Amino acid sequence: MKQFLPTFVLVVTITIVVEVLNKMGMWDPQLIPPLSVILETVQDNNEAFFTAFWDTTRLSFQSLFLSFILGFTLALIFSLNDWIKRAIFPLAIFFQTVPIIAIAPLLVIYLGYGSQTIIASAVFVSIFPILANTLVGLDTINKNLLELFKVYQRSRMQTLVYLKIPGSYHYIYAGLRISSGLAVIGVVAGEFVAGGGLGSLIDTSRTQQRIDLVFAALIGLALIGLSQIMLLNIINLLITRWRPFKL
Amino acid sequence: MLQLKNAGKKFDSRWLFKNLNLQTQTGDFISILGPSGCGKSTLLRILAELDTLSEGSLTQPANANPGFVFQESCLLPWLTVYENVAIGISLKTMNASEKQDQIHNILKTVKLKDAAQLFPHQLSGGMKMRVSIARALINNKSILFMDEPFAALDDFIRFELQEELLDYWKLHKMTVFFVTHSVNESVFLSQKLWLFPQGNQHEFKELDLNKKDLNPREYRQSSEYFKLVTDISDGLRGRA
Repeated sequence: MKQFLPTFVLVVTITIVVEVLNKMGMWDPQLIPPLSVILETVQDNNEAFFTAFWDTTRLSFQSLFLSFILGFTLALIFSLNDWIKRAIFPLAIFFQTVPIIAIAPLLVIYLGYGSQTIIASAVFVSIFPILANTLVGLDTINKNLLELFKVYQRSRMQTLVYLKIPGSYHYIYAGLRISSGLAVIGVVAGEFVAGGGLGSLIDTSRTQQRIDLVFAALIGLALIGLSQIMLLNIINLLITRWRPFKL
Repeated sequence: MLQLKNAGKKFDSRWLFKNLNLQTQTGDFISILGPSGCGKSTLLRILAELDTLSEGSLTQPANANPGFVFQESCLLPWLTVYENVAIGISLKTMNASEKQDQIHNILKTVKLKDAAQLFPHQLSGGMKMRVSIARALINNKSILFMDEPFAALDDFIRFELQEELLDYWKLHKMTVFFVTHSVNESVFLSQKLWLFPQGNQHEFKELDLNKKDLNPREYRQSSEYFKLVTDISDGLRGRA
């Protein structure tokens, strides 16, 4: 926690300075609203805000989980079959370069309005770091250890399960951390076009010039991102206490 | 019996060795000796079927049950000592209680009985190498391939492990192929030497040491040992 102290002090200081300047009439709350104004806005719109907040939270976690399952499975398939890897992986890199905001309208046409489009948008963005990192982990296992498994006549599946997957743990975890932030971005992009959640709240507030509501939604999004990272950190701590994964 | 016939290995355009004709008997302890980069580890990997010959043939004994010890201990950090040793056991041949007994016995042999539940990061360099050797020895291995296993250890631990390896070999008489660049180590451990060309020597040589069956600790102090080391070192440097 000590490492976050400077950031915490900086944020608290800026918040207090903005509050004081606002009270003294030297701050334009229409441009950047002080925290007290944002909290008041949340209180006034609490039902709409918390419904949107919960929807975005739920979809972000669901998308991250789905990205993990799909990305990890694809990486295992690629690792076992080089031909499939060479056929599909370049396409994954190609689609990674296309901005999600350009793809999202297409997803609405294919999947319609609703959570399926939002999840598809988030998975589209967040699957790649998990896939790429897992593949790097699986492909960079110590050569001697691979030979050891060969000497003891272990099958490809045994080598994958007992050596390659545990040996890739840190790569997979790093991929998940990157994807957690991207999942929130993908959900918001999906919500812009498919409706619902904090993304839609930001979009409608923008058209009504409700900057206070936009800031409330932004803080909500930051909290979702932070909660995902914190959950991953806790899971990582529990796993590495159980087994010291590191090659 | 393991046999190499007209064996050659080419690396890019350079022949590491050519026209090798060698054969071993069960229970031989052979050191493969030569300078760094001469191809001794490559030869060991070929014998262990981790690499292939560019020409010639290799015949392995039927039902060979090999163990391999690398220069690094090569332990899986997420597995305990007990679990790391278990990797060396063939999965098909044993039930759970037999497997457990074998692991406990081999851990006792390598003096790691009390460390069974520790993880590799909790072990010293010497202990890690003991685990690696236990993994290679378990399940009554008939052939043991060792690639400079003691090179990174200090003298005290190295001498201790060399003596323990010899004691174990005398008891079980498995065939051992031991790669080293140390003349002292090869003379101390083995019955036969395979000498890679060095300096102005251009031929691969096989040397039978005809050693007396002395206690390893006594042998290290004997004049016979010092004479052999001096003769072979001189031979390698072309002074013989």
